[in-house]
Amino acid sequence: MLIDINNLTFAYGHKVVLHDLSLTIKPGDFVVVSGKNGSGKSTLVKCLLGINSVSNGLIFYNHEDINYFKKWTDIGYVPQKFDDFNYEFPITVSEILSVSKLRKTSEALKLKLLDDMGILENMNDSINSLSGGQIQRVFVVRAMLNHPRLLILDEPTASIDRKNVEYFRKTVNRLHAEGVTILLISHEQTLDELDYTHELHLDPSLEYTYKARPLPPPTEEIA
Amino acid sequence: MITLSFFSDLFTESFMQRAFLAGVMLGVLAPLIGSIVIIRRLSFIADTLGHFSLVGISLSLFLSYSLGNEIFADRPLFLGIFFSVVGGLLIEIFRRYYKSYKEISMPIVMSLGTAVSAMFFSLSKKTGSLYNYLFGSILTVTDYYIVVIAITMVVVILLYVLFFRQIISVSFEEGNAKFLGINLNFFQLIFIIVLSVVVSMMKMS
Repeated sequence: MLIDINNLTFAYGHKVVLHDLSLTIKPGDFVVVSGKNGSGKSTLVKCLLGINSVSNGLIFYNHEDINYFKKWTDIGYVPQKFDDFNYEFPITVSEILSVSKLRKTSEALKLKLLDDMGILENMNDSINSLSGGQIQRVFVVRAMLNHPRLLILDEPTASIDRKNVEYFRKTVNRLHAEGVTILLISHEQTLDELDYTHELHLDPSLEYTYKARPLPPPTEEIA
Repeated sequence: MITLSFFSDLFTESFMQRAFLAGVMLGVLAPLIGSIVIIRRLSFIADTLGHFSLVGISLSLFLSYSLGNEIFADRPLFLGIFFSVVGGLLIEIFRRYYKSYKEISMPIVMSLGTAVSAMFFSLSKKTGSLYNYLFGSILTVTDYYIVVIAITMVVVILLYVLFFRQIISVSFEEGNAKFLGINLNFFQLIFIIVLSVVVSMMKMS
């Protein structure tokens, strides 16, 4: 999905968090958004999701103004925090995935995604019996299941342990290879294992840099 | 032999049959709606809508008193349902206005409903049978009540079958609804209207 951000400025009251941000994300790009706490990473995501209404600046999805954008089903989103859902609701992982399906998807794909994320054995567990990291991985699978054209991941590995982070990276890299546009928010420094194409670095001083990833050193393929 | 006479009455007395039928149908209907109410943390809403539907009942009494015919007094259900829906919509408007403290919408609507109904009750100068109107009685259920309850039950079951996926998704996590193509505002509106109708029916019988 093509994303155009034009002169986006966003403030909470008088506190400006994003200032005059402009960039274009082409279909198939894999953008990593980095920056310290308070640099506006999550604010940018909220703008992109239409949670923060944008009044100063413009955001376009496939040339369509976000304020009139309707096809939210093209977007998969994994939130940073998991306090928005109903912990007490008696529902299993498998049931969450089946009510979240937009169209018929094969059972095999569901099992494969669960296996990729290392939570296949938790499939029939109730959601409130899972740990934070497991819940996060369930939500990653849920977002991926509907083949989104844009996947927005807000600190998706925050509560996942090291071994499972590797599973996660492999899965994200595979989706990128399949042509899904990915926007990954991360405050971690170790991004090398991800096949990202661009990096947007936000700074609390409101400066930002957006650059393509330096090409890897030449390999024998070129020769 | 009280129990035996209960069962024999069930077969012989038509008011018992109607009461039994209404009881069974409401027994099916109430948990269907009630479970969503609890999960969406709106437990107080039933009481609020019950009080607001009193506006319809008191208005029925007032209209029959001032117009001099009994049409409205005989059928307080319809205005009751109408005002219950109005109350539900008012709650919804206030919930969107007071975004951070949504629950205060309910006391506002409840006190408004109680005040307005008290006004109409006193204007209608009819106090004798007020008790029946306030609490209803399942033994006084008439045929048209049964029809209204049956229609509502069919509609609610149909909505459940058609929108089961949406109901479960929203119950589990509202925030994700948008990405599943669910219009949360529309969902909430339909839910409040259905809930208002069901609450006012429960109130009357």
